[in-house]
Amino acid sequence: MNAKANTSASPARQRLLAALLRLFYPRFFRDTYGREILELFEQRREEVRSLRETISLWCRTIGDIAISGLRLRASSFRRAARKWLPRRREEVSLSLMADLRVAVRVFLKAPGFTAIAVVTLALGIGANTAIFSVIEGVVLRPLPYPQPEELVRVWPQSNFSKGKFVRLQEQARAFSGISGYVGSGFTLTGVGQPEELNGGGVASNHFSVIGVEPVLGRGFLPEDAAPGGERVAILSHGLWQRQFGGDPTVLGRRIELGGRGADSRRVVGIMPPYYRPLASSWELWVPFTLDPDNGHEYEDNHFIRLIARLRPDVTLEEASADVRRIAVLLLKDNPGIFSRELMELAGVSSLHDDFVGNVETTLWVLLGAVGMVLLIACTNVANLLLARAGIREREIAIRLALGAGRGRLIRQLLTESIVLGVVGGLCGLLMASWTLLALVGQLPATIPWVDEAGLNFSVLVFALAISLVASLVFGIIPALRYSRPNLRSSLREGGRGSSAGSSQHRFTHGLVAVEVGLSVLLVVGAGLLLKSSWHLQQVEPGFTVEGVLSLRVHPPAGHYSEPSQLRSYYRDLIERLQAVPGVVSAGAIQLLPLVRDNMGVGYMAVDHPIPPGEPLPIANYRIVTPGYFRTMGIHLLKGRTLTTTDGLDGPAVALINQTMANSVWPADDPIGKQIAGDADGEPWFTVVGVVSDVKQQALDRDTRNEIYYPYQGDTLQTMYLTVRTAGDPTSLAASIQDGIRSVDPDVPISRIRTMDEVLQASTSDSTFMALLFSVFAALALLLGAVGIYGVTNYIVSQRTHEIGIRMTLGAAESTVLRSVLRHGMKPVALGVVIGILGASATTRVLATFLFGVTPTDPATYSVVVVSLILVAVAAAYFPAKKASRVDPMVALRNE
Amino acid sequence: MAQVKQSPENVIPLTPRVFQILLALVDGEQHGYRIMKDVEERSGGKVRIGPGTLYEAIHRLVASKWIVESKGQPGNSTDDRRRRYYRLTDFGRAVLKAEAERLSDVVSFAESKKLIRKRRPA
Repeated sequence: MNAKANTSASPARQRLLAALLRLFYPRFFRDTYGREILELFEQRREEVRSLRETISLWCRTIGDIAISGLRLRASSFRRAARKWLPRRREEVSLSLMADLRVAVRVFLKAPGFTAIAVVTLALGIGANTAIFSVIEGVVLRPLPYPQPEELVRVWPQSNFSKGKFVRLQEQARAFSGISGYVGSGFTLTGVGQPEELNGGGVASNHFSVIGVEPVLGRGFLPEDAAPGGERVAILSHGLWQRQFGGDPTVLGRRIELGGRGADSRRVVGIMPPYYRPLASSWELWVPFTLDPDNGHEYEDNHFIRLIARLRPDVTLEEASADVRRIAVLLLKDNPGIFSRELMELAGVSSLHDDFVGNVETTLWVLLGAVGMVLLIACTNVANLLLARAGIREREIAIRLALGAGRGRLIRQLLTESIVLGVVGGLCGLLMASWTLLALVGQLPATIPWVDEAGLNFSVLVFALAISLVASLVFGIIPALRYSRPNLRSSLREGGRGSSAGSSQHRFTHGLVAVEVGLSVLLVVGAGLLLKSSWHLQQVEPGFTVEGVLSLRVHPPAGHYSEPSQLRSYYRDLIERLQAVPGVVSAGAIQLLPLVRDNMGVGYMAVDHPIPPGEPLPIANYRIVTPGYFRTMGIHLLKGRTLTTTDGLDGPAVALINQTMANSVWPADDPIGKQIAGDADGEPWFTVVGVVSDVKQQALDRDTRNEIYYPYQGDTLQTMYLTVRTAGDPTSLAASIQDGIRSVDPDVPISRIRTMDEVLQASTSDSTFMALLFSVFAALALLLGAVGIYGVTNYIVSQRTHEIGIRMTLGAAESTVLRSVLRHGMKPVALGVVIGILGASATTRVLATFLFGVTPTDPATYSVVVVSLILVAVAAAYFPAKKASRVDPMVALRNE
Repeated sequence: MAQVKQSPENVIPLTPRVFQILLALVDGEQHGYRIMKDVEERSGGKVRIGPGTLYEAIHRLVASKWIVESKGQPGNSTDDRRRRYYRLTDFGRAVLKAEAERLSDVVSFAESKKLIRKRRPA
């Protein structure tokens, strides 16, 4: 349903209606009638004259959609249920209506209680629903491709050459199709501002293996991949809209992807708007050429990632075995970098797991945590219900005396709980929709397709289901207890059942203990994550974060086909940037620290030869301009730094980091040592300096050996510029970009961020987890405090009489205060013990999220316990104070 | 939905909404908006069917094969080119007839009891 409505519909209105349709209608109905319904609404709207009519139209439409949607769902449900449900409909529905009426009356009579219970439940259910909608959108929903369960990734990931890919394709039996792809950058010029595009080369069967074909034009054909085939490209819908205004005549037109005709391609297809590329940022696809005659490119470049579609009757294990069988042959054929270690990885894995595997744990842990919040909320409501026993007991005793069966009574009480639960659930749904808006903005970018998360029917069902389950959880115990009060004593004593006291108190205390236990668990979790996040903030990244702006530039290949052209471009660029007023220094590197990408290189110290056959050790490989170190505040520890002439003529030189100096030459001076790039020992470069360590990949990872090679000696197209400024770097962003454009206006600039932002982004996962857990823990504490307050308050009200007698007999205020507090703290103490035991058993699931702190960190536990007890004392203090102020005369006269 | 052979008499009485929708299709095929307006006009604005309810009913009627979506669309009016049109099936027409007769019997009974004035002879 992607046709554009040709009415003058405002997008906001259409979006709202579309959301309503999504929420209430089953998919098939939406697809068939959705557009018609929207159009009907638009026509209706045109008839409307006044604001009042507009409002009335909206109300009627929303009601209409909701009711017809629910009717549709109900009828399909009824059809299913008719098969196995006995029918005693009339009887059941009659007494059900009566129960419902009573329930509503009961709650209307106690608005304060009802409000607290509903808000408590809404908080719990809302938080759960919000997290669940993210899980539903990200993890549970199948990949948006046809028969997604057949799609697999082939391992070892990105270690296939074109030749190996083709041989695998020829020999594999388990798949209906295998396709490869490899990422690369493009520079779109000739349409507006030059833009760097993410995309890549794909095998010609790419889209047919995935099962999504272009919405306009055609997919790739085998002849597109043949040597000398026409150069063609397929655009994403987003790119088509953004750069070409959705103009269909772009099909068949040539676009420039490298500037000056270096990579001119004919657009043959546009992907549909809902197509989700395998690599989320891709907007452009070109066929990769399979040319066996180009031996080096065909056989030696092992960068191709493979996906495949299983034959319908083949299992993952069978497919893995098939891949392993062929991998053995490939290894014999031409190993390349296909080492024995990589061979261990050969096989397939489900594409779905591959996409969501990393975040799945995070999300389930969050759901677990938020589930505890709901459990606390339920305990609270159960306690509130029990505390109302004093009020309800008489009414229930009368009902029993009049002959109501216990079962009937339990049903009445459970109906009441369900009414509470459902009302709480509806409010919770409202809360979840607000929370989601905030949440989706906060979620770390590593979660794929998070924008898919939203309220839809599955989420609605989930919210309803947890509302009902919660109702049972908090309703069943009070219902069981209420329904067998001591009949005679309740009637005789006029509803003040001091006899029910002790067992009743024991029970409420038990619930408080549970509540406190769960709160401890959550607060410990939050504490650990906060501490870990703090530890992460303390890690020295190894460079000066403040005052540095980073930008990515991608000179188009057409303008800069020769290394010498690139060299002079970057030399001019750095010079130009240094001349911008306010700029202190400028440099460039091919991969910024903390951006998760890495480039490694095998090396061998010439004076520490490695026996033939052994694999070479790998060091991080960074290509830099001389100004990079000064700009980033990386210190030179030994030797000299790079100069503008290094790498041009003369002997090759490079810098290494401190870790490498210490690990390769622990005893010797590394300056002047020679490094080879191969096991043959042929020197590659001489070490001329040692610089301080930088956290290159992530703050929580150990620094690896690292080689900094001069840019003049190894030119690359794409570089990150780093610019140190005297003041706030963002205020200079515009003049820095002007500077870049003044050197060459055709060079696209992207990823403009301060290094501080880069640093923050690299820890966003951990910050997010800590933040969310803190919110849950705060909720848990709040609900726990409310629970303790409510229970103590209730017990005090029950003991007013007793306290009055004590005070008449001469008990001091402070004695009463202490006694009530002591009484209130008993379950708290028990709860704390339960919580600590529970926490030490379960916080292990957090281990993967923790850095610099163990799941059983004693300091965290102590702080949590102390603060929880303080909160509990505070919550119990006010009722206790009230008790100690009891006027003995009033208390006794009340009798 | 099981499609057992049914006789029109077994499926009546119809709900007023369904009756009205079927009635709107008596003269030939119509699209959703026309059906909605037709029902509204015939009832003097008293019966209003919301778009969701309308298509829910249409969905059921199509599933019961009382109406079908028509392939060819009447006229060449350009603004209607994307709309879905519906028409009665023979069975749907029979149901409508059976219901009309039933209602007519009810009305005759009311007349014979002098509850309402006799209609003009047809």
